[in-house]
Amino acid sequence: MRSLRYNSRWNSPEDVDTLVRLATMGTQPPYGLLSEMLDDPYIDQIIFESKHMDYPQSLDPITKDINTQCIIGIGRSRKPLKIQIPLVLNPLPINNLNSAIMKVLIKTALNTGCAVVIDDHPINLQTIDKNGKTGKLIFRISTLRTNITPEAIELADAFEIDLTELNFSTPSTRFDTTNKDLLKGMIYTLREVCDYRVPILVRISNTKISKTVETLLKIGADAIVIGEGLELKMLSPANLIKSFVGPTEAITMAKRPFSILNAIDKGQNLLLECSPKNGVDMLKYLCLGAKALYITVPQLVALGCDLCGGCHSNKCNAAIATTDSKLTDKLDIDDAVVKISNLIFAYNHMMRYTMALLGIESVEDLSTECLGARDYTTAAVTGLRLMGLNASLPFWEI
Amino acid sequence: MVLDEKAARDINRDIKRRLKQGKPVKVLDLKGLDCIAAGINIEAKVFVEGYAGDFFGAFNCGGVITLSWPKGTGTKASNHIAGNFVGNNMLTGGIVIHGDVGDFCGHNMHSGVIIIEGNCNALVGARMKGGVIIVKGDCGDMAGAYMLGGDTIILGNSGKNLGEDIRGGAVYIKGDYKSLGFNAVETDLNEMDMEKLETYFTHYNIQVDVSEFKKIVPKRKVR
Repeated sequence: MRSLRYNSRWNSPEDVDTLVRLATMGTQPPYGLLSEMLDDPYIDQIIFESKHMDYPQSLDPITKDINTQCIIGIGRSRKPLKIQIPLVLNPLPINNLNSAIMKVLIKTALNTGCAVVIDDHPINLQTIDKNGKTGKLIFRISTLRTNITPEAIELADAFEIDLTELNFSTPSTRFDTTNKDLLKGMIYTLREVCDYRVPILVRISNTKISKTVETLLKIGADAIVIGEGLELKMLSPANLIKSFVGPTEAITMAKRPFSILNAIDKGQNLLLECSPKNGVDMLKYLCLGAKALYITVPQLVALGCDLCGGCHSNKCNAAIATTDSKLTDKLDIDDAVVKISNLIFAYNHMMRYTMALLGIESVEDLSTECLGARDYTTAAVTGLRLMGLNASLPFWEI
Repeated sequence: MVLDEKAARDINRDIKRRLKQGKPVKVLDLKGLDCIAAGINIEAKVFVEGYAGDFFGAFNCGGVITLSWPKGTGTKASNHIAGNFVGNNMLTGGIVIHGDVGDFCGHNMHSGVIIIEGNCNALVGARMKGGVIIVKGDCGDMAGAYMLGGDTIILGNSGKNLGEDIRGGAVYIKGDYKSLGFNAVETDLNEMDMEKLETYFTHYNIQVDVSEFKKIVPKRKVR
């Protein structure tokens, strides 16, 4: 394995320094904090294979146009979802997330070209600049808020049916998505509502993934979002980190030919909800089979969240998980938009930088062949090739 | 559940095409297909003859949809003319059903009117947030369950757990019910309620005595 190194074809050493600084931000808060807080044992042990560093030739990320656009819903929808940076900003599903944070997320998505998950609350709709819209809006249909207004139908770039319900905060789950037949009917009626214009995503929990994916394949959803299993945990960022089992489990499934890899081969798009530390982690998830990533915690850390776990107390010092006007007045929306935009651009820079070193021009060319596992456990869990052995472990050979 | 996506899509596409041209639409000889007349977003009238499957008139936004048996149809063993989830997630407009319907009629509707000439199965108006459902016959169990707003008006009798975990809105019932659900309590009608009901009945040409109705409301309102 070679480390990232200077390529003589680039314009100047300063360019490389700038890129690396943008991509890592190791010494500057909050990105240094981010890399300390988000720690996953498996993803850290996955590295890029050295042979892909040798040939084909490394590319110049400055002059070469590296394509990071992901497209979801080709074939079924008249207007597939095209995301410039394969990131979807996912608001933390807690009840006291204030409207200012939603404004920040929407503005950030519109500025950076990634997507954001929202509902059609009037405050959200007022925030959207319909003329200057560049980011993508994914309208979530869940128990908490399900008003699908004509305005939302016009603005939506995709609909997401959320099956990971939070039962304790609402009277009941939706009854029209309780089994696969009803879900199939829901997906069909949603397609009729938007006149087959936008794709329909289905968000599932991280439990019983293989069975659910097989079912959803038959039903005909455009993409499957695998959540972090928040409904099983307490909803605080600190516990979100502990519940990182979800996406890891999804990653482990990615190599198994009978489940999600099968789904990917059949054109089913897989979106992972995870917490990448940096662009390299993001690229690893994409190599493992994800089409795009839902991020929840990193943007909150960028806003100053210290993962104290006190979201329920309504006394969030970072003015994120609170509806107290004394605290929310402290939040500067424009400043917050810049912070999250910097984080996303840093992700994007580092991802493009690494892709250039790997000699890959498009995210569509990414695959598990680019990756290797550095220790036995990771190789056993993920099914990737073990470095040194240069092969998968015997029980993965099918 | 018979979701023949191609057949349903062809019918819905034809309905929308004719509605855009300003022509009247009449669907004949419907035989239990799901998702018919779903997602209509034009203010127009649609007449359907036959019997429908699930999700009839779902996500209706402005259309006035009438479902009835074909003329000259004799007496049937079952008067079930529509399946479950009639008017699911309805936004505006109206649906008139000349027969009995299945479960979850008016589930999660936000506005508009649903009139059922026959009986309803369980969970009428479950999770509804607004609008009006008028049932001229009897209802099954758990009518008005988890309601957050709107009015459910039942002219016949109801089963067990009427208004189960109701959080908002009101259920008006003329006949009897077996039991009330959690968080539901019976109250008398006030003048405003009577005036509202009279307005509905006058508008939809229903002849009943308003004073016989009982009102079911939540013990505590959540939102």
